[in-house]
Amino acid sequence: MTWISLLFAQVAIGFLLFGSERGKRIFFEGQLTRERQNFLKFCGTTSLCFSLLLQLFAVREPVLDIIQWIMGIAIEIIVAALLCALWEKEHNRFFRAASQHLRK
Amino acid sequence: MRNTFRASMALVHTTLGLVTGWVLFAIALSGSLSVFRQEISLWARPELSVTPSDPLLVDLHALNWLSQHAGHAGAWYLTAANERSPAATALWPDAKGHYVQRMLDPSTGSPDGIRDTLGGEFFYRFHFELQLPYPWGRLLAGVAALALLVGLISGIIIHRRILADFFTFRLSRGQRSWLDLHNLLGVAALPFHLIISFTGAITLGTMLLPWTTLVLYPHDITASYADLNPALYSRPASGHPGHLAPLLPMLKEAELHFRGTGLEQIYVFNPSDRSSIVTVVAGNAHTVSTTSDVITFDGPSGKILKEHIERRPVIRAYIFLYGLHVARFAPAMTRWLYFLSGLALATVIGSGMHLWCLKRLRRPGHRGHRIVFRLNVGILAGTPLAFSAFFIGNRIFPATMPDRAFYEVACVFATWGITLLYALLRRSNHAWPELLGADAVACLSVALMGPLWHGGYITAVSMTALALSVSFTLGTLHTTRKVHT
Amino acid sequence: MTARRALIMRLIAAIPVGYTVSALAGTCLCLWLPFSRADKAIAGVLAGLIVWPVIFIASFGIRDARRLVTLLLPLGLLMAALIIAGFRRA
Repeated sequence: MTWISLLFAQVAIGFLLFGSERGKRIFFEGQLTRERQNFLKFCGTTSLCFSLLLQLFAVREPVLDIIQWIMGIAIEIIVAALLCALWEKEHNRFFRAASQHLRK
Repeated sequence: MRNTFRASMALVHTTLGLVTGWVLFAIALSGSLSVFRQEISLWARPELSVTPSDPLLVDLHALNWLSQHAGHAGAWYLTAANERSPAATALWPDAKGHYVQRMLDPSTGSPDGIRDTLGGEFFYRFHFELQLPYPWGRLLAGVAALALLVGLISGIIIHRRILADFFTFRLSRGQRSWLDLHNLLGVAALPFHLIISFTGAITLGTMLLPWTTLVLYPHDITASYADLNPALYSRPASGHPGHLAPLLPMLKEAELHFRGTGLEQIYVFNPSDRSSIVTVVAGNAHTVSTTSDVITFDGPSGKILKEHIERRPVIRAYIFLYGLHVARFAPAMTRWLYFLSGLALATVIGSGMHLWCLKRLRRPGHRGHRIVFRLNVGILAGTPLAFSAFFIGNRIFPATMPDRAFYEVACVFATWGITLLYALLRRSNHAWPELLGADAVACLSVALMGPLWHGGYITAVSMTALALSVSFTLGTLHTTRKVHT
Repeated sequence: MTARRALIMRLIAAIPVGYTVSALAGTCLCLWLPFSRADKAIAGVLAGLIVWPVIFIASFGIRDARRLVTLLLPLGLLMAALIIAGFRRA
């Protein structure tokens, strides 16, 4: 997988994550209009297609490039979901500490 | 309607998973390792000098050594050297007719001083033969591959919110977290899982469904092999002594005909007879398919007897799918992706088995369930331990020990047996941290025995072992915390 | 029909019957395809490997277990007829 298409794919996954229900709850505390969510998803899909195109233009062998791309995306999705889970954990810990502090 | 459909798919998913899960877990793990079959084989022979040289010359040295030391053997089967594997591996019958398989030194062609070990071949064979006698291991692996395919499809059907839950992974929520992990890894790498299970079944397809072959070749089943590869040719020995023509020109000519795919196998039949033949099978560089292009030379004259370049449409589709599974084509990057996706598949299977147990742990007292929980710990934590025992055995046994390769394999199964027994006798919440801890220590010792700082393949294997060791340590800490709270 | 009997019927449909029908489908295909002999043998295997999982899922997916008989029996008979015809032709 070429680094540039890897980068674009990760950006795309980021957009899709922010636009997903899970991302909405964690990063925007549920405050995200349907239109903005769709816009984020649109950006994500576009850059995902762009990443695939970049990968295909770096061609040695199209089949090989597509296989690499599909497997690369899988790992990027897993990494994104893991980071998201860690973010949520830290976030919750911070807010719990803050609310305890305020109660004192 | 929808609900009953989902419910019955859930039944299929759970039951198939429970029945085939343990076998599939071992297959997935050994399959991931056999992606790096050549590299593991080199790791297992640290005494081998791996200065890169022309693969054809390496093959030639190997063939010359064979002609001096195994000249009267009926056949030599040589796996040719290539960019990834700088040494050739030979298989030949000795004077008593027992087959010997050894890696040959790239510069001298001699197996002397190179330790007797299966290396990566062990994991490769185990992946589809499960160390069971022919054909049972292969049949079991084939059925398991189909079961995985059905399990994946039923899994997609019962996963209600694939898109809504796409990035969902919630930490420290017990059973919920395990389900999230199972779904996340299953969905993210779904294309890989589907392809690998279906192509896996395809590699063993002629064993699972031999009927078409039986119908089309009613009188002679061996004719089907000849038809599948028309240039793989054999003829009986004439009984008159003869000499092989110089081999290098033959290999060079074959390489030219294969147009850059390199050589995969070189077979020489009846090398010291007047009717000797030399068969060269094309390699896999720059093609996804496992190429089945073959050239057969007449031994004494060095002239081409038969040549086959594959053009038949269905066979081409078949070897393409076959090639996708075995990934011989893959450059390093793709290989790592296959490895990681294979580990993801093993995790999906393992977490599925663990979920089955967690759901039933809430209702205690069922004896059968308890046995399954404990065996599950033994398999999930014991398989990595048994596999690392192979690596450790490779370094611990003296290089000149007789039947060394056998004892290395015995080491794996002894470890497996002991672990299973231990897990069966120990309470599962204690067995988890203890066995995971043992995994971490075993992987760490594999990394250090490499040795880690050696360079090249050895460091790569060691770093992977180190990474695995770190993740097992995290698992140990996590499960220990659970025991104390 | 009791749930237990339905389950047994589904199991029979999925495993032995499913395997038989996929073997028949592959054999049927290999007798009627216009390719070379080796091509036909492999095509039959590939077809069988696709048919079995489909029948497996269908055996548990169809709501009424009794409909399995009316679905799989004619399918099997049709293929058997095609195979006999294929042998006659050859």
